[in-house]
Amino acid sequence: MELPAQLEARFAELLRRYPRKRSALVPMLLFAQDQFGYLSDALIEEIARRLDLNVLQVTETLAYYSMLRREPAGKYHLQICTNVSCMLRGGYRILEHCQRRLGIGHKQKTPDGRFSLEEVECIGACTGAPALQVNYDYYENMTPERLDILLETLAQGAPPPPPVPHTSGAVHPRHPDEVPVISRRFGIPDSRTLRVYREHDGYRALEKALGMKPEEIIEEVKKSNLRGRGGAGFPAGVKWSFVPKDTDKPKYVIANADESEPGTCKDRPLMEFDPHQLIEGMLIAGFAVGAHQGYIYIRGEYRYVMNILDEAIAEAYAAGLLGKNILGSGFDFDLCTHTGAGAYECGEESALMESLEGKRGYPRIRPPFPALVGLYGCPTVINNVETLSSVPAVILHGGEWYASLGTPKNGGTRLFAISGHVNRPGIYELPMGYNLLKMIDVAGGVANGKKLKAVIPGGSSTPLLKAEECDLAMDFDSLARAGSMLGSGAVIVLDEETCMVDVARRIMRFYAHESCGWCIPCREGTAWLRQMLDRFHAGGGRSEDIPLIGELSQNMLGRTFCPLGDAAAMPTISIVRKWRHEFEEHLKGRCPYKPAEVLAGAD
Amino acid sequence: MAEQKQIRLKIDDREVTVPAGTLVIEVAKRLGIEVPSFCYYPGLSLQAACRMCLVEVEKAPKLQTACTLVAVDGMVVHTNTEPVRKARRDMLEFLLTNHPLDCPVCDKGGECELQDMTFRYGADSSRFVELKVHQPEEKWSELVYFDMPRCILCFRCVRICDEGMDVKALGVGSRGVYSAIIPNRGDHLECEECGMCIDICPVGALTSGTYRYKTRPWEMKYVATPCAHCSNGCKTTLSVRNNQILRANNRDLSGFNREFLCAKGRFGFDFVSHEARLKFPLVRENGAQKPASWEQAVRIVAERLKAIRDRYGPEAIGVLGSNRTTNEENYLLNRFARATLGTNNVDHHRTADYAGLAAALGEEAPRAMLRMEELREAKAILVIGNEPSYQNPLVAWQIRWAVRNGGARLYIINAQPIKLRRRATCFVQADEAEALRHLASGGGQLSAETRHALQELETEIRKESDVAIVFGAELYAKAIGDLVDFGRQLNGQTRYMALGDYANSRGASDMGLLPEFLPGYERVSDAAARERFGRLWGTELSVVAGLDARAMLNEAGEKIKALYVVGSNPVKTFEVPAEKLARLELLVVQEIFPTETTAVADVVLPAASAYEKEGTFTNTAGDLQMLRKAVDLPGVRSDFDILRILAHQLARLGLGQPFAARTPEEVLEEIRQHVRGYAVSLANLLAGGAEPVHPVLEADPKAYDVPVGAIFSSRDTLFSSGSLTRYLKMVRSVNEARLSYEELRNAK
Amino acid sequence: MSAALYELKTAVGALLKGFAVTFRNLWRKPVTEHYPDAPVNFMPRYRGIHVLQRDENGLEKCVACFLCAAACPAQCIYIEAAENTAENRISAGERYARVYNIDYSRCIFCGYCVESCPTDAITHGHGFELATYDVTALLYRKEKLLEPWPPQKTSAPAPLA
Repeated sequence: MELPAQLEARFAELLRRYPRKRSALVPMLLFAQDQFGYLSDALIEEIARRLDLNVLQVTETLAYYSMLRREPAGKYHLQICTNVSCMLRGGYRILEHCQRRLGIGHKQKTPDGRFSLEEVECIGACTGAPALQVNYDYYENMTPERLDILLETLAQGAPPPPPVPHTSGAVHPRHPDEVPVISRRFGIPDSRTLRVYREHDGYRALEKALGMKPEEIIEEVKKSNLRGRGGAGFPAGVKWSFVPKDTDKPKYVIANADESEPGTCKDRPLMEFDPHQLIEGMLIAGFAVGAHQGYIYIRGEYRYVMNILDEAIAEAYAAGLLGKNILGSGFDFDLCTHTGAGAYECGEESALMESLEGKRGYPRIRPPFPALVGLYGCPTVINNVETLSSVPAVILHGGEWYASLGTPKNGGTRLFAISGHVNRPGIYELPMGYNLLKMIDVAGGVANGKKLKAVIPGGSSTPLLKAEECDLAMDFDSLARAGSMLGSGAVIVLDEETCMVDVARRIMRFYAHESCGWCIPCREGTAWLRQMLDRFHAGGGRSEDIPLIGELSQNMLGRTFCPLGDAAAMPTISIVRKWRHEFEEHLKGRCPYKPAEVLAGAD
Repeated sequence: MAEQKQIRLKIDDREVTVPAGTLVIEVAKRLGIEVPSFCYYPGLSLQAACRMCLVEVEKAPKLQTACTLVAVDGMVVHTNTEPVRKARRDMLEFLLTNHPLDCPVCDKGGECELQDMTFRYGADSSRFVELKVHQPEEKWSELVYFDMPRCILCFRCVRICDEGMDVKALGVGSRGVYSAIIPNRGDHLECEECGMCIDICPVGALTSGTYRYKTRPWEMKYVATPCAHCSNGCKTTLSVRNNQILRANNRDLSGFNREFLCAKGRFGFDFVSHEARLKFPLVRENGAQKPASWEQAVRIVAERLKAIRDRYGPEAIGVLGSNRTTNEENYLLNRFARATLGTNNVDHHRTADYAGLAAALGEEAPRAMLRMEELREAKAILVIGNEPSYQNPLVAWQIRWAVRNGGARLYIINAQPIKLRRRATCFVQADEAEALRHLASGGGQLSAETRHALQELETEIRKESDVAIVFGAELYAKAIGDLVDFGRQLNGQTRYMALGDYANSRGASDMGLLPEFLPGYERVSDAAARERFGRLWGTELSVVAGLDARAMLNEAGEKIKALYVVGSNPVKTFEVPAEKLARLELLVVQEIFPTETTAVADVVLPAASAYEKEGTFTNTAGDLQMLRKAVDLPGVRSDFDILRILAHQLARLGLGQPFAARTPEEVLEEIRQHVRGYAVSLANLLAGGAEPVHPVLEADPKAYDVPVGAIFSSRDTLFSSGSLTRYLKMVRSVNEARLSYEELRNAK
Repeated sequence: MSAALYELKTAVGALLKGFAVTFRNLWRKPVTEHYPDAPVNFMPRYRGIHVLQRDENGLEKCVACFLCAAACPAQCIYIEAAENTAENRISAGERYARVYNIDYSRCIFCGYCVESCPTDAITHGHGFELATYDVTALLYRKEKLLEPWPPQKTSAPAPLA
C-alpha cells in the first residue's frame, strides 16, 4: 500500500525507536488515522505486514483504544468532556447545546460529514472546565455562546487558533502561600525553549548529578521524601533502589504522562511550559539506575504537548544533552515520546508497559514489580511526570532542603489542580501538608459565595470529604487518616447545590467506560452500578438499591485485578455512606437538585 | 538436576510439603481441596481475571488469588472461611449479571462450569434488574459458533489458540463490559479448526457446529477410544446416543493427549454413519458386482483362493494389510497369509520405517524409544522431516508444550519451512537425509551455507543432553542408521520417535505385515523363529522370500494371481492402474467404504470401522491402547471376524487350521505371549491406559534395507485422512479443507 | 322384662343410627360418575394424559431440554432434539423436540416431568382413556400430545399453581 511520504517518514522513525517492532503499533495506528480519518481494513493489513503481526493482533489492539476508530469521523471531531469537573461547570449544557445545534448525538456525524460529536471522558482540562477538543485542539472555559461562535467559524473553514497558554489556570498571579519549585518557570516567555530553561538553572542539576555516584543520587532522593505524584505516593528513591545493579538486561526509565484521572491536569502544564525539566529529571533517574533508554508515555489527547516535548527532545539532542556521552561524562541516554490512544487504564504502570509494547492495555500480574520485570521484561523505573520533574530541584538544592518544604515523610511541594465550584480554578504549587480549606481560599473560595458541600481531594477515585471534614492537611498520611487519599492532587470542590447522586453516577460512568474488561468484578460491577445509578438518578430508584449500591461497591473493593476497581468503589462507598439522605430524596421521584433534562447523556 | 527445595505450608489446617514455586491453587488441588476458578488452566499462562480463586492468607491485608500466589514456607491459607465464601458468591453474582439464563437450551447445560459453581457457591436469587448486554449468536465456521452473551471472558480460548495451538485466531475486541472474543477474519475464523476453544470453554459461549442442539450431556454414554485417524493415538471420547456418535472430545482427559484433539479427532467421527458405507458383501458376477449374503461371499472367496493356490502355488497369492486395522487383526492376517495360505507375500502401505529404527537401535531399543508422554517433558527436541503440525498434530502439541512450559530447546531440520519453526531455537532448511549424512559423517551434498547452519545446530545440540529426536518418512533404512549414529554421539540417552501416518501404522509393522518379518520383527529367514510361529499356527512356514507391496502390485496378473486386500486402497495409494488389478484372477477387498480398489474387486467384504470393534492400536511412539466399541452397524463384520470365518472355511476345504481364538482378547493374549516387545501389563491397558511396546530387532542391523519408494507418507493435512477423507463430511465442510498442503502451511 | 326392654332399646337405637346416615346422604349430591354415559368431573389438578403446550403464537413451548426425561422415574419419555431454523421455526428457543414420545405403558403419572419443565411446556391434561388392545398404541408421539392449533374448545388443563 502506498502511503504519503510524510507518514512513511514518521513510520520509519517510529520503527527505529523501539527494540521490538510491535511497540510502534499504537502510534502508527494513530498517525495513520490522523492521515486517513479512520483505520480501513487495507491500512490495518499494511500496518500488520510492516510489524510482522497478524491482522487479528492489530484489530484486537486497536479495539481497546477509544481514540482509534474503524469508521470515518467528521472533518471536525468535537469531543466534549462531561466528566465531574466539567459537569460541575456546565459540561452537559455544552453537550446538549451542541447536540441541538448540530442535530446529532453521541458518536454521530452530520450528513455533510463536516462535524461529528462524541461525549468523552476527562481530557485533562479540568481547570478550564467546561472544555472540549476539536480534533486535537483544546477549547476551554466554554459557554453556549462561545460554542456557537466556534461552530460558526469552523463551519466557514479554518479553525480559530486555540488560546495560549493552553492550560487555563496554570499561569496566574502567585498567591503568597505558593512555593514555586517545579512551576517556577510557568508564565516566563518561551519557557519551553532550552535557552530560557538554561537561563533559569536548567541542566545544572544534571551536571551536578553526573558528578555524583548513582547511589548518592538515590540516597539524596530518598532523603527528600519525594513520594510518587501519580496517586499511590510510593517513595521515589526507594523505588529506584529496587532496580538491580548487576543485570545484563537493558534498563528503562518511563515517564507516566498518561494523565487521565478526572480532575487532574498538572502534568499537562508541566510538559507544556517546562519540558526540559522533565527531560532533565529523566536523565538523572536514568543515570541513577543505569538506564540508557527513556520513554515518555503521553496520553493521545495531549498531541500538542507531545509536539512540544518532541521539539524539546530534539533541542536537547542537538545540545548534546541526550544521546551518546552526555556532557562528556560517558553516560548515554536516549529518550523519546510515545503516544497512547485513549485509555485511562494505561495510566496503571503495568498496563502502560503492555500498551507501550503495542498490546491491549491490560495490567500485569504483580509481583514481579516493574523495577525487576518491567518493559520488555527488563528492569524499569516508572514515575509520574511531576515526580520526575521534581528531581532536578531535589538534586540541585539537596534532599534535605526539599524535604523541609513539606511535612514529615511528605517532602516538597505539590501541584494542586483545583477545579469545580471555585472562583479561580487553577493549578497552584503549594507545600505538602497545606490546609485544604485554605487551599480553597487560594483558589478564590467557593464560587458565587455558595456554601461548601464536599471535596474530592485527589482525583475522582478518592473517597469524598464532607465540608466539615475539610479542615485538614493535604498530605498522604493526613488524608489516609481521614479515610481518603491524596491521589493525584486533583482537588474538586463541590458546592451546596451539587447533587451527590449525580456525582456518583458520573464517576461510575467514567469507570465503567474505562474498565478494561479483564477481571470480573470490575468489568461487571462498574457496568452494573453505572446502569443502576443512571436509573436511580433518573427517578427509577428503589429503596433496596441504596444499600445495594454500597454493597456492590464493597464487593468490588480489594478484589479486582488492578486498582481501577478500587478507584470506582471508594468514591461510591463514601458518597452512599455520607450522603445517604440524598439518595433517599431521589426515591420520591426526580432529582431534587436539577431538572431531569441534564441526564440526556449518551449510551 | 539439583534437588528441588521443599517448603511446608498449611491449607485449611492441613500441613503439606510441596516443591518451592508451586502455586497455592495446585497445592490445594493436591490436597483434594477445591478452589474454584474459571481462568486458571494448567499449562496456560496465568490470568487472575476471574477472581473466583480468592483465598484468605494469614497476614495478608486482603484476599489473594490462589492461581497467582506462589506458596512460601510457613504460609497459612484458608479456603473455606466466610469472607472467601462471600467473595465467591459475589463474583458469581457479577458474572451472572450479563449471562443469559438460557440453560435449558444451552448445549453446555449439565456440564457447565458456571452452572456447577453457581450451584455450589452461588446465591439463590438475582438482584440484577438492569438490561443485559446482548448480541446475536455468530457463526464463525461450520464447526464453531459463538454466543457472546454467554461468554464470561476467562480467555481460555484465546490462550489455547495462541499458546497451545500457535494459531492465534482468537482475540479480544472492544473493552470493559463490551469486551468480546473476536475471530481473526472479522466475522469468521480461518484456523486449524481444532475445536480446542469449544472444549476448553467453561460455559456455552463457544459451541460445536456438529453437536449444537442435538441432545444433552446426561443423555449420552461416553466411550473413550483411540482416534481412528493419524498415528498419534489420541484418545477421543465418543458421546453416543441411540447407536449414534453425536460428538467427540476429550474433556475427561482420558488419554495422554489430555485436552488436545485436532479437527479429525474431534469432528472426524461422522464417517461411521456415512450413507456410502458398505453394508453387505458384493460379488462380481458376469462383470458386475452384485449384493450377496455373507455365506455366499465367504464360500466363494474360500473356494477360489483354494483353487488358485492349488493351481499356481501359494506364491501366486498376495496379501495387502491395513494401517487402520487392529493389532489382533493384523496378527491374524499375518497368520492367514503365512500359515493358512502359505505365502510370504505380505505387506502394507509403510508410512514410516519402524523396522529400520528397530534395526538401527538393536538392543538399545527399549531404552531409546520416545513415548508420546515423554515428549512433553523433553528438554531438547530435534525434529527432522515431516510437518508435525499438520501430519502429527499431537506430536506438535507436545513439542509446543515442552517449549512453552518446560523451556525446551527445539531444533529443526526440514526441507520446508514447517510451522513449528516459529517455536524453534534453531531451524535449518535442508534435505533431511543429506543433512543427516552430514551430521553423522561429514558427508552429504549440501551448500556451504547449509553446512554452516548445520554446524551451528550441531554445536548447540551437542551441548544438550537426553535429546528427543522425532523424524518422518524422509528418513528410512540407512538414513536412520546415520541418525542413530549421530544420536549415540550426543550426551545422555537419546530417544527416538518415527512418525507414521495412520492409527495403526506402527502396529501393522510390529505385527509383521512385512514380507521379511514375522510378528515382532523376527526374520522369516530365521529358522528358529519360523519354527516357533509354525508350531503356534499349526503348520510349517514357508521360507520363500515374499514380495513387497509394490512388487506384488507390479506382478498383478503375472506372477500374482490373487490379491487379498484388507483396508487398503492400492489403486490410489500406490497409483497402480485399476486395469492392472482387474487382470487378477481374484481380488478380494475388505473395506468400510467403496474405493477405487473395491470397484475392480471380485469380492468386497464390508468391514467394521475402528469405532465399531474392539482390539488394540499401537501409536507411532509405541504406546499400545485398547479400542472400545461405541456403535454397531448392522450388516458389517469386523476384519477379525471376517478372517476367522474365512480361515474356518478354508480349513474345511483342507487348507490350514481354523483359528481357535474367538475374541480379540484371546488374540491379544497370544500376542502378549509370543510377539517380542508386546508382553505388556493387561491391567493398565484394560483401565484405559497406554502401555509401551518395544520390539527389538537383534540380528545384523546392517543387513536391513528397503527399496526406494517402499516407505512414503501420504502427507495428509489436518483435513484429510487417506481414503477416509471424502467421507468426513464435517471436517471437509470447513473452508480451510480446500486449501492445499502448501497453502495451509503458508497461511498466516 | 328389663332385659327385653333393654334389647328393644338398643335395636331401635341402632336402627335410628343407621338410618340417620342414610337420610343424611339422601340430600347430598351423589358422587357417582355416570361414565361413560356422562363426562367425568375431574378435580382441577388431576394428573391425566400429558398435553404439550404452545405459546401465544402457536409455537411449541418445548425447547427439548430433556429435563422431563431426566426427572422421569419410569424413564418413559424419549426426546430427539433438533435446531430451529429461520425457515422452519417450531419453538421459540434455539432447539425444539423433533421427536417427543411418552410410553404410557410405563408412565406412573407422578407429575415430575411437569414440575421440572422450565418452559411450562408439558402439563397434565384430563385425558385418561388409555385402554387399548395393542400395547404399542400406548406409545404416544408428539403429534398426539401437542395442544391442537389453532386452539379448540376443550376442557382446559389445570394450571399448576
